[in-house]
Amino acid sequence: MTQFRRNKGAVTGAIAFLLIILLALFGPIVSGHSYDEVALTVQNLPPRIPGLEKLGIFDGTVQGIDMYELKGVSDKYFWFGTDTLGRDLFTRLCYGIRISLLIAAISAFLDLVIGTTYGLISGYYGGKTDLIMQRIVEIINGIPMMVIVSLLVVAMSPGLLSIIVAMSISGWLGMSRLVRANTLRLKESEHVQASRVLGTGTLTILFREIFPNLLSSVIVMTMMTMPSAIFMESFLSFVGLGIPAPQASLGSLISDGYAHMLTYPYQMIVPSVFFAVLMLSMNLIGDGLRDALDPRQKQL
Amino acid sequence: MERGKDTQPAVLQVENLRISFQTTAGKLRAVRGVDFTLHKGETLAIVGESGSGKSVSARAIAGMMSENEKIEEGSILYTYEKDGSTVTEDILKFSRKRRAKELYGKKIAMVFQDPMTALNPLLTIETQLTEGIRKHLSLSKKEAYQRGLELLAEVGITEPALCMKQYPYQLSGGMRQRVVIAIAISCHPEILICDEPTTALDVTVQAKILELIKSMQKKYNLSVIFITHDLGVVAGIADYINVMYAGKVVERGTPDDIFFHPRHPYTWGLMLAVPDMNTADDRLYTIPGAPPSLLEEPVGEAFAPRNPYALPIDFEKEAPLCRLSETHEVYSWLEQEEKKTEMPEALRKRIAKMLENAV
Amino acid sequence: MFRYVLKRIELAVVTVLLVIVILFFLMHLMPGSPFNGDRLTAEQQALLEESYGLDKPILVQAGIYVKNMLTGDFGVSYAIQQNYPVAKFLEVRFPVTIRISLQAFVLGLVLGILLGIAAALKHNSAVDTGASLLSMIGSAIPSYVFALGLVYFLAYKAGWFPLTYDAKAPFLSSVLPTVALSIMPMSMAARHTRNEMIEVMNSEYMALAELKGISRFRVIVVHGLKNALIPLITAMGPMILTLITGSTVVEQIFSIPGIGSLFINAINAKDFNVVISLAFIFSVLYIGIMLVIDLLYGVIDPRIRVAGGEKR
Repeated sequence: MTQFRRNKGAVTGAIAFLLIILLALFGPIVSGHSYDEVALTVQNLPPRIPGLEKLGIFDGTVQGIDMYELKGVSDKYFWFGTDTLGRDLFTRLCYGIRISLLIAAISAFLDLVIGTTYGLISGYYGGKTDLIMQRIVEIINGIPMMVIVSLLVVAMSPGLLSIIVAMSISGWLGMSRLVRANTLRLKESEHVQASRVLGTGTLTILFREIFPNLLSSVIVMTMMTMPSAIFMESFLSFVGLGIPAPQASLGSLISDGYAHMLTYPYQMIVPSVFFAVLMLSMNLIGDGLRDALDPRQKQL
Repeated sequence: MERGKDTQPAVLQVENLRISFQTTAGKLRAVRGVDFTLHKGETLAIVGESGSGKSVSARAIAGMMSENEKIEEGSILYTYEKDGSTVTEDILKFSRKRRAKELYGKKIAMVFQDPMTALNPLLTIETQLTEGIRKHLSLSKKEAYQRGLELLAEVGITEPALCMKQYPYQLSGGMRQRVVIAIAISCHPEILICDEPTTALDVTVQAKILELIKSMQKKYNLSVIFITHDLGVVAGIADYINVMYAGKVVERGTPDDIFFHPRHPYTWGLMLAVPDMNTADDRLYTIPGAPPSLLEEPVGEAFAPRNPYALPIDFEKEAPLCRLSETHEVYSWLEQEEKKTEMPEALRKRIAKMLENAV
Repeated sequence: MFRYVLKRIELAVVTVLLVIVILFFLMHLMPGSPFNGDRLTAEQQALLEESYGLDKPILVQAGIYVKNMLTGDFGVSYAIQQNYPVAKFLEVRFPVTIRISLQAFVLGLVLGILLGIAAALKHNSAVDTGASLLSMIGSAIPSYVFALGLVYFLAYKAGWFPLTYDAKAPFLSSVLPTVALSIMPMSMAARHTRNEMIEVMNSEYMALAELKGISRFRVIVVHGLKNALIPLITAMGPMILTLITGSTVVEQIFSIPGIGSLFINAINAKDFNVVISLAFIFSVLYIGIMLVIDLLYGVIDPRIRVAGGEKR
């Protein structure tokens, strides 16, 4: 724990991550808008934040023209502006982050459950079982995840469910490999052999002797794979296969923003920045965890 | 300090060497004022347990230092031929570039402890053996190859041509060490530093490697610094011995001096700690306690806490140098006492037995 | 060595075949696909039945399908461009994607390795911290975010580069996409190289090499680099995968006529034939590259060659 705290990068990442989570959870309440409130009167308004507007930034103007005044809504504040349908971007952003985090959590869970179990079994039993299981892994591995995901999303209709199914097919591969490698190693260690000699049941051995030793690597791996889950979802959303409207996800926000990049750049910049920060902070935490928990792999 | 009438002139003179390491736990004072001299053609053994500073001292001669290592004080004077005349320079002051250019391979070579890690796993023996030769002796690839074959044969590799083509992982530990030795002597260095070269090898192989080093030394008139913790090894090859403890030399002398007339309590402890098959004693001796952590500079003598013969002054001041004979020196307060402190009875018996058997 | 090569090739081939089979069954599952033919004209239906033998038993169909795929007969598109052979699409688009991806990969790798070496040599200095920071950012943030940034600032605002791909100025307009894509491989290469070089530099054989008095350049390059690059090769597999995924989006952003943007268009247009065929192409590409990497690994590390290359 101390080593993690000592790592400035990791701490920064952790703080940023925490802040983002708080934003996602409490943002919509504070903003006073909802994410799907379509109001064409207030479409495409630039960001306007009370307080900061006095400084000349985020004051709702575009090239000197006060857009809010123009549309006759000087009394309203849209912190990150609105999109083409007049929906508040701040709230949508918060919801989008929620979705991304949800997907990250689900992927982590699947990783853990499927990947770990698969790896444990494959590694521990060895022999034929291992051979077959590993063949399967190699084959699934041969198909790029993007392809699997895209195909599935097309086959089933786009939405949260299809994304989850897609990730549950290939997302756990990395974890299973890691767990298997470690299991193979631990299998030969003395305390495991001692347990076996004593006649302890396989399940007990797996969960009492082997798994706890894997824990640190598993945690690190989980933290490292969450970003790729979020990336996958954003990729899908960007190409139009992700969460359908009116719900928002970081990817779809970026995608919508991209469509208007030239005229209303803030619509793309804001979600992109948050997306980047989210990814970065998760990676930093992951690195920090790895340095702290797995000293053999110490890297910068 | 003289060694005896047959000794050749001094080649290396280490004076008041102080080396420290900057660690996360603080400053580690690994070498705390060490002096020793290496004469031409002799084998100087530096003996001590892990952490005594023996490796660090010797590596400093080779200029091999870690990033967090710092030379606090001291000099290493090297006497050698340069452009026809004899010069003496402090090689500690050499820049890395100068060291690489003038010293490495040509004048100073080193044999490491673990032959497994000393050779590059991805390069053939030929490459690793000949690159130094090609650079220093300016030989063509073919000529260097020939020389390489000769070297391998010299170090006792039975099929040199085959060996050249192989990769390190295909050789046994003993063979690898032979290759390392071959590489070390390939460019005719003057000084060979061996850092526990046999520790990682099987006992039977150890003897052979030691013999090899000895024969190489004789043949090329090498000056060898031999670092080890193993007294048995020392007995076979040393011309002169320095015993180190906690970063300082505690006693130095010829093998005769050290084995038959040791004077420092630590040396006694070392000698006793070697299990002896010959005496009827069935106790195993250890020196109680553990070497001090050198994060703090010890007050007085570092060995005092573990020394059953320690005097009160040992805990306050460092012991002075005491010349016992032309060749034998010790750093001990015991020598100042009027009454001579005798070595433990058990040791005396052992030595008596050794002398008996030697006759 | 031979055993190793054989084993790898066999695995690759088996995987490709299995992929085709899986894709075949997926085709049947997809709603609105030709095989569930509710949206097709009689003409199209007949065409399909002819090439796919829809009236024959399913296993035979599968067999025909496999044969078709392997011989490059990918059927026709029916949503993007009616009856236009998919293979024709590929002819034009495939090289574009490959060119840009390759450029990005090579650029990223070379720069990354150089950066990594510099960082390792000037270990713990400003250069090192800077490089590590950059590579951290570069590997965490997906390539298309960089692409968007580059497009906005360098193409739109500064006007240095064209906004979209222009076939008449292939080089200039491929700069931005190449750069955007290269950031990820560069970051990973830099990171891996730096870490490995540091470890290698601390190893005894490096010390011994230095003690031989040979030139520092030789020590670093001949002795150090080779050892340091091995783990990098292992990491190249996933790297390439991310590159492929990234290039798909980047192609969209820059309107590059490559197979990535075709893939996305096909998905949106529900042109399943194209989708499946492209999925196949991607898979083959990926499997092929993995095979090359595995073989490369065997070439560089002699230990693998002799040992027959069991699990690393």
